Amino acid sequence: MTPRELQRDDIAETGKSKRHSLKIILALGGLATLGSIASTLRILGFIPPPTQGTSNQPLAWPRIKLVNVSAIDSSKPLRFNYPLVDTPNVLLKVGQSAQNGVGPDSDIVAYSNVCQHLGCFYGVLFSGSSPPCNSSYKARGTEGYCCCHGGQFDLVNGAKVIGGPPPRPVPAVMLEYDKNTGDIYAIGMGPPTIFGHGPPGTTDPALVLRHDLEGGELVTEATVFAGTQ
Amino acid sequence: MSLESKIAKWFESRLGLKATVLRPVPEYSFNPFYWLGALTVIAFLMQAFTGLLMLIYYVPATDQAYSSTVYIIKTVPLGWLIETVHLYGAYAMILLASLHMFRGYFVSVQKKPREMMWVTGMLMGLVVLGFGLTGYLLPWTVVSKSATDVSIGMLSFLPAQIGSVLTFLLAGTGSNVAELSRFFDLHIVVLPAGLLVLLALKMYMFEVHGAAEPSTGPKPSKEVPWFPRVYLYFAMIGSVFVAAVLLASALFPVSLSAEFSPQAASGYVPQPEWYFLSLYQVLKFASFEGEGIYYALGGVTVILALFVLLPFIDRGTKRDAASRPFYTTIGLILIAELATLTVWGYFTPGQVIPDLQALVIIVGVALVIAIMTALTYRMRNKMRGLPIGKLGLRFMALPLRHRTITAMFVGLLVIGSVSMAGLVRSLAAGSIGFAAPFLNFIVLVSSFCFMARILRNLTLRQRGTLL
Amino acid sequence: MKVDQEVVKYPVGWVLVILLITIAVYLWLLDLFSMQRVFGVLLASELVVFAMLAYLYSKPSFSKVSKSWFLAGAISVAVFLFLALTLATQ
Repeated sequence: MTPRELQRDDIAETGKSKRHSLKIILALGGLATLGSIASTLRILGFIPPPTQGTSNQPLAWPRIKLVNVSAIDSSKPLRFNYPLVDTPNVLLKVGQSAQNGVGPDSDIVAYSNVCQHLGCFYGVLFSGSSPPCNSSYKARGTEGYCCCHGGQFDLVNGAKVIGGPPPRPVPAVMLEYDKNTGDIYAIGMGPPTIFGHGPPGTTDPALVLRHDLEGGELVTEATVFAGTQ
Repeated sequence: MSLESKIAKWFESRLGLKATVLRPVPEYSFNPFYWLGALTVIAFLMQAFTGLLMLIYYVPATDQAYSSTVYIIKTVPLGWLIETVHLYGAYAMILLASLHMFRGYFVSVQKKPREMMWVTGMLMGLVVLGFGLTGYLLPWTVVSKSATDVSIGMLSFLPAQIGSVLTFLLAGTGSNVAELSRFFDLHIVVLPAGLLVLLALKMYMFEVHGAAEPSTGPKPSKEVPWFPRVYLYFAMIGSVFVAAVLLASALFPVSLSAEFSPQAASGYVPQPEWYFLSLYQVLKFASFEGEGIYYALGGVTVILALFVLLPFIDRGTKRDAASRPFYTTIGLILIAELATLTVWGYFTPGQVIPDLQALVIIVGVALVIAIMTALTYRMRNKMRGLPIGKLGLRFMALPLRHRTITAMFVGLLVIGSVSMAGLVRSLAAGSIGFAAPFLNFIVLVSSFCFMARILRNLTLRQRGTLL
Repeated sequence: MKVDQEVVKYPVGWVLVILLITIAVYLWLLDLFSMQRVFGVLLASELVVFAMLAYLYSKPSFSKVSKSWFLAGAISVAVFLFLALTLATQ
């Protein structure tokens, strides 16, 4: 080949690689610009603080008087809202010394009424009875039976899961029994967090306090009413 | 085959964009005027993006609208930037849409076969103004709520059947809660849906007809493939536009006026936003007060209808501005009047404008523009072949080349304006005798004549070389 | 010579791309609470730099690139970056 032809070939070759780097330059530039525009979405990382009654006070479990021990009947579970106005719990007298139990016989317990599986409200069964959704099932003791997917909690033994899909027990409401007056107070929630509050299955007490109290209004007085189950 | 060509080929075989949206465009499209519509769409996307981000925090309830807006501006990081970009983006969108329309008007895009594109575009313009109206209310400040109340109040002047239906659609049963709720729904659902449908229609028609050729006649030009030049051109002007809005927002952040309350509003004179100020100014004329508002609204509707139906009114075949002196003059008069009315409205909040003053200013502006345009056309006919845009630019460059004469011209302009102001004042205040207004009138007319003569001599003086 | 002219494009292009990537990365890492105005000015400058890059490559040859427009862009970016620096150190 003549020197001229060689030179032309050279230019063509460098031309091809230059066109290639041109595309890389433009692609990188475009991506960087799009990335910088997308960085405005960083504001989504800003989550407003939870609104509570007064934000000046540090987070603390409210102390709410529920009922007097004389009003609790071992055949009737009572429902009440704690610690927020939209977190229902069930209070019952199981008739035998139970885990988390208070009262003269250590048999008064309260647990969150929201199933840890998918957030349905479970019903309370006493020994031998059947739930309305599954007449072939017979409760072996005092149990919570969730009609949505057949979850079963043993309410005598800390709401342990004894059947069905729930991955963990429902949280217990920490109760306090005043020996002199006979009144029962709700003074906190045990782990894990109530369903729908914070990452599922959180057990760290500080996180449980924070998550259980966010996203709603705190109760200031009990609304206790009798449920049918 | 290289990686990127493989990827490009995959998308091309599935979407076929190179035959439709990404067709080669003619060389003359590399002109910012051809992209005003595209920039309006970019502005709309910017509005949608910032609007969606604000939607996370804004609450459309009368007791929380203002506080949630304040929350966005003061507490949310970058909230002030997003809010300001949304405001300036709205202004930019309305400005760009107007520029796009006027550019189309002056190069006559609405002639066959693009008549329907013009009508669709005008409807889109109305939707954009609707965005401005509905969005303005949402922060629920004294300024915005008062202005909106005035606008809604005008609906009651329409004939009963239309008026009551429209009022119900826009303001519900009349309570603040209903009004805010409806305006919010209009702003985020109804109007965006309407705009997108109209935009799709217009884009489809654009694909069928392509960009309008230059009005001075079709230039034989080669078609340029979309990648890379057209894409880069679009990316370039789009980026500069967004950068300009961002910079303005970062340097001049928005500040809200006080929250709306009847007490606060009672001491405040309502004024609409600048894009409605010209219309509002017309309604402030004395003869349009009370019963007369019908004439005003009727007149405005007629002018708007004429503009919307322009393709069916202007039946000439020529497209370049030089061959359409009448329509070009009308267009320039309209722009001048809109500008005058807006500035005038800004300086006279809440005042009723005396009829004579209104007549003088409107007719005066129209006359000045008409004469200037007529002169330019006379010049132009002596020099064929020069496109009107270039002629206008050289016309504007004249002052720099003839500094003495320019100084004289400006001096005469000042004298003329002062005498005009004196004339108007004396007419508005009732006659304070005959001498003062008469003198003002003489000075005004003479300065006007001298200015016209200067213009004529300037333009005729160096015929071939200067212009 | 024509080849020499075109050769200038590529280093300039690389400089612009590196500037783009640096600003983009910085936008993701800066403290959003204290540097909000800086964010706005930097994002604006990023877009102008991208516009310059697009402009540089949109012309068919380097001789057609209007140096005055390019210089105007470079000066604006310098001003914006200076503005951002002043706001950041306030």
